[in-house]
Amino acid sequence: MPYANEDTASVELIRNVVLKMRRSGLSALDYEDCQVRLFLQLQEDAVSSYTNAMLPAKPVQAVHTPVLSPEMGTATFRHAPAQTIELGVDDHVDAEQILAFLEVGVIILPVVSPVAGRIAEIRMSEGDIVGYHDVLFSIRPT
Amino acid sequence: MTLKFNSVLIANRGEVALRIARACKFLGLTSIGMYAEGDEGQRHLQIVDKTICIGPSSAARSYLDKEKVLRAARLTGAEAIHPGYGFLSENAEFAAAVAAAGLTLIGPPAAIIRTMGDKIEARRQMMAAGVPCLPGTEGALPEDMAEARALCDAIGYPLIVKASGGGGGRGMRVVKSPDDLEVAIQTAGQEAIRAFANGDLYAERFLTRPRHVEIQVLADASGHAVWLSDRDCSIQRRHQKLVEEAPAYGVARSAVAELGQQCVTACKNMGYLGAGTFEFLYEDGKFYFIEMNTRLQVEHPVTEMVTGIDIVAEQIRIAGGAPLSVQQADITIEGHAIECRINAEDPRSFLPNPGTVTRWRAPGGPGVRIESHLYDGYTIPASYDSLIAKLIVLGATRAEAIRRMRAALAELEIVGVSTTVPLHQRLMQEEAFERADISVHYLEKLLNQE
Repeated sequence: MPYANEDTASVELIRNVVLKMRRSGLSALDYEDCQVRLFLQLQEDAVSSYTNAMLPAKPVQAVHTPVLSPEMGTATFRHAPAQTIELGVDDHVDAEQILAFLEVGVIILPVVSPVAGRIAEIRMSEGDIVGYHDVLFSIRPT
Repeated sequence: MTLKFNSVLIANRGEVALRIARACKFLGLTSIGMYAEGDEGQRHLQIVDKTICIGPSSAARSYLDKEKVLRAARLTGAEAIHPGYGFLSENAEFAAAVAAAGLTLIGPPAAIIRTMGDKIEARRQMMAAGVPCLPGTEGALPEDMAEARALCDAIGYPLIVKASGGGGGRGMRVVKSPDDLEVAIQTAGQEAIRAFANGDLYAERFLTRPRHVEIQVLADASGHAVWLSDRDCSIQRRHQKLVEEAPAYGVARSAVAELGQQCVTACKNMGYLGAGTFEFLYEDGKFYFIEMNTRLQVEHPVTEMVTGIDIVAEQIRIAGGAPLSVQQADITIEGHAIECRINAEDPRSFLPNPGTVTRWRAPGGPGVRIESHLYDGYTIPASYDSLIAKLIVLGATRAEAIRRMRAALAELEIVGVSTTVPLHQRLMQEEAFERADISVHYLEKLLNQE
């Protein structure tokens, strides 16, 4: 039963990763290689209660979540005919909130925040040519 | 002369992308590097003027995706696209799409790529230009044995009878003499009916110990064409070339010159544009056309070494509308060049061996050239071609080139992955290789001896 063994090994591996994330105060992890993408996001209270319990004296550095361009194209804050998104650093955003758009020929794709938090950095400007998975924003957990 | 474009998108990766980026720098053109996710560390991206990530690491969704390559060109303002070799370099649909987008492809037009990709049409054009082809029947052998025999006698022996609808060795017989013909046709025909439900057979001359010899050409938009040098690429395994040389040792220079002129005629007849290679099998003093590659070849540096002509720069200039910078009378072959392809492969099993190169030290000195995108810490991904470096040497004679290659291979250090270097070291010590007593079967026979 090689698959069962592999599954057991994978669950064990993820448990270890989660444990290490909690110890380090990480709230989210996004890892991708050629074959696999692993995205882990811990519940806020679980992170805080665990880190508070385990590491009371050490300040926890917040991990920023990158917001990636879904495609290669032209980044814009405008969606014709009239909608313009106005965002600034420190603004609060919800998970799944549209932060910008990407023009890919005639197709317009939304750029969506994967998490709730505050904008730590805006790396795109109106009309920028961006590549696939370029970082357009980073979000600081609240 | 001002070229009709100022910027070039390099639609490739690895050593060839670096080679093209260098040629763009030399010509004063703006170069744009595109890459797949995971290829951010590609060396050419450090020297180009702009970069863009076009998609995920899968080649099908990045380097082979025609729409994405064209989109990258449009977004970055590229006016020309250099496809390198592999990926989209011989894709007629891509060439047509580049032209339709109002961009310049650094390569021949779509119609020529399509024609040369069609074996029957390519052979027809070559015969019309006087380029020698392997003698064979144009269509199926007639059922009447006397008629079939007349055709086969005209081809000459040994010949091979093959099933038109087949493959995998079934419906195939080598006929060494006219006495064996009738039995061979009957048994191959019966086998073909059983295996493919089609008893049609065709016959062509069978070469027992051919060498692979090719001719490099350049042709411009004004109808001028030249041939630069011949190359011997007989050291190959499963049609994968491993060592290339220029010129082809021991082949009469007058015969090569005649063949070169025939290739030039073929280029002029078809309106060829850019760099191209005519590939031949060579046996008993005769050449037989195999195919034409309508792109830059991996082994182009050996021709550059013996002629002093920068083929990539010429190719870009020609695409930009400039005339050839050399005339046939100016082209001379001086010395002998050898290239070893260093692949990240197990030297015995030839299985790809991706991983991280922890230490890379290239050899140097007079007559030694390295074309490689490697650096310390470079990770070779599993998804692409295993070629990681080309080591090229030039000597006054072939014997000197071999000595120089031995020294360069001994100096080369690649730590962290298995490579074909030990195989090259062994080859350079082989007596048969030193005598140039080689054929396309040489390497496989050598490996099978173990």
